[in-house]
Amino acid sequence: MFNLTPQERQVILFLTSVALLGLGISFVIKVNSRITKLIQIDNHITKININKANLQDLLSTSGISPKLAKNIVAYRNIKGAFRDIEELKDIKGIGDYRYEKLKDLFFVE
Amino acid sequence: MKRPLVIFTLIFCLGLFVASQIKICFLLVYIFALISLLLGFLSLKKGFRFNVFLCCFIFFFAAALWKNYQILPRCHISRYVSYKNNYLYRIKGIVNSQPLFKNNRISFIFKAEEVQFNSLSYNTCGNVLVYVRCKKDLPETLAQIKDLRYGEELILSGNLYRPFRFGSPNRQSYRDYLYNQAIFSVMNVRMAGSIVRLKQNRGLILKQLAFWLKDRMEDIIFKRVSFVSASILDAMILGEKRNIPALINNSMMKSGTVHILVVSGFNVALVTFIIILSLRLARIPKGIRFYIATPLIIIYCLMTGASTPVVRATVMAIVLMFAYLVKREADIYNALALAVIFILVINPRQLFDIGFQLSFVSVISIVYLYPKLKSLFSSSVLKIKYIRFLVEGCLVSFSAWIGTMSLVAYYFRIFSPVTVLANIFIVPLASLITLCGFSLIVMEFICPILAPLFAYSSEFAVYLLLNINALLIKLPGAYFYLS
Repeated sequence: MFNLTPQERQVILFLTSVALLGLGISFVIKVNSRITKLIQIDNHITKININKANLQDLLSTSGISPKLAKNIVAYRNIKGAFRDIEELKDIKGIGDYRYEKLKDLFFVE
Repeated sequence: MKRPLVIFTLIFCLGLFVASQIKICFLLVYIFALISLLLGFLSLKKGFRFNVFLCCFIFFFAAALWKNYQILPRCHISRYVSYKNNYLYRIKGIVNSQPLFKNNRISFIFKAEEVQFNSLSYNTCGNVLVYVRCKKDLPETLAQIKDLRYGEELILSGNLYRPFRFGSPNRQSYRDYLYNQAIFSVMNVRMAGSIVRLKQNRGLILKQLAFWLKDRMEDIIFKRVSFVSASILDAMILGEKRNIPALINNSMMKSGTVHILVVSGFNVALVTFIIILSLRLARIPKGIRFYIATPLIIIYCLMTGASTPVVRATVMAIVLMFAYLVKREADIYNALALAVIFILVINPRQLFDIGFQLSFVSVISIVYLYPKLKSLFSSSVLKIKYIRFLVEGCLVSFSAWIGTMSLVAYYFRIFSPVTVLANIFIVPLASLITLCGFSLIVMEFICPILAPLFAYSSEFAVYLLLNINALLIKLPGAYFYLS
């Protein structure tokens, strides 16, 4: 009836499937606000939990030298745990400039 | 000889490699190239002898090209760097890349035209990597400078120096990386307020158009999708990695899937496919389709920063489309060889670039190993559609992994057995995200009401991708650091 080629059918199917999936997600989020987690990316994936990170985790982060990583671990061992990310400023080797760079890499839990 | 271009490319690369390892003057290599060419002319009618002299010529030509590339012009900006005195340099030129704003700092590549220091002024040439620190600037000054664009003529004042060598002496450093990009000096501008803006639109029109399109696309992505998902989409579609959280980059590296976070041959193939399909749907004839698709692919290549894998894929796509147009058999090895020569003639130092090596080695491994591995499976197994899809996916990943394993271990000091498994899940998802992202952009232009639906789907696909990746790297023995 529509005289569609196979490629046209594929494109239409793809676009409608994506739109349908989007519509479904939009509905689910509206009905249940807790399900926003369905598309919200967890902090654990994007940032490092500074209270649980080991030396290797810290070293694999850009902008952290072996000495600074040791200082962070030592500070955590003395204080027990970080309560706020701003406590990073208390560590030797982290000034305002470096703090600005590092604050987005870590979170406190 | 079925694939002469492949042999020529290998000899060309050998010439570059040998020239980089030995100390020999340009003139000597040039004379050898000239003699080989003359002997080639003299043995025009003698098949074998002609071939030998032709190969010699290509070898010496490549070596001469390398030697010539190492010699910077007398007026090159890097020759004005002074080690004894800490002069304040004033450079006039044009912005040669899209400026990046991050952490109160603007960075861009600057094409120098005139340099002034110690009350003297000289004409100059060459690219400088410029960092503008905006920490001390007032918000109004910062707002004025934030609309800096490619092609703007500026006068910059600051310190000029050679890039520092970070990393161990025997390994590739940041300085080597910059040298491979033909950047031999860096400038630090202390305040954005000290930049003098002269004229606009002095760059290439095609490049300006590409960057304008890129800006519009980025605006759409960041308007419709949450920040983390938008940063992933931005990297996958437009090759802009600056907003990707470092942890995501690290975890993708551990699983060996970091290649999906940059625009690569895969993206170019996808874009080519989308363009060709759209033109086919519009019932545009085959010949005209090629002439429309080619500039569009080149614009996409410029939009994404024309990195080596993208240039490689763009050349290959154009060659394969042209072969199809003139009804010649499209040979992937010849297309690949042409792409190698194209990139190396423009910049021979790319031979030692990690991106160049990984890009070509992975494609060669897939093209060579994949059919051989596939033939090991019986045809009855591959007849079942879903099993065939799974097996083919595994084999493509496995072929690329085998090929790039040693390079990845050498450069990144990481060995990731989970790569094969990860790529089976991640690559189809990455294709889906790329397609969803492009659909989102197109929808925003033609029907903005529907765009949020596509944004939700894209976010969901990114969410799946990141969670699957996080799960895979937690598997025992997923990856090992080699040192």
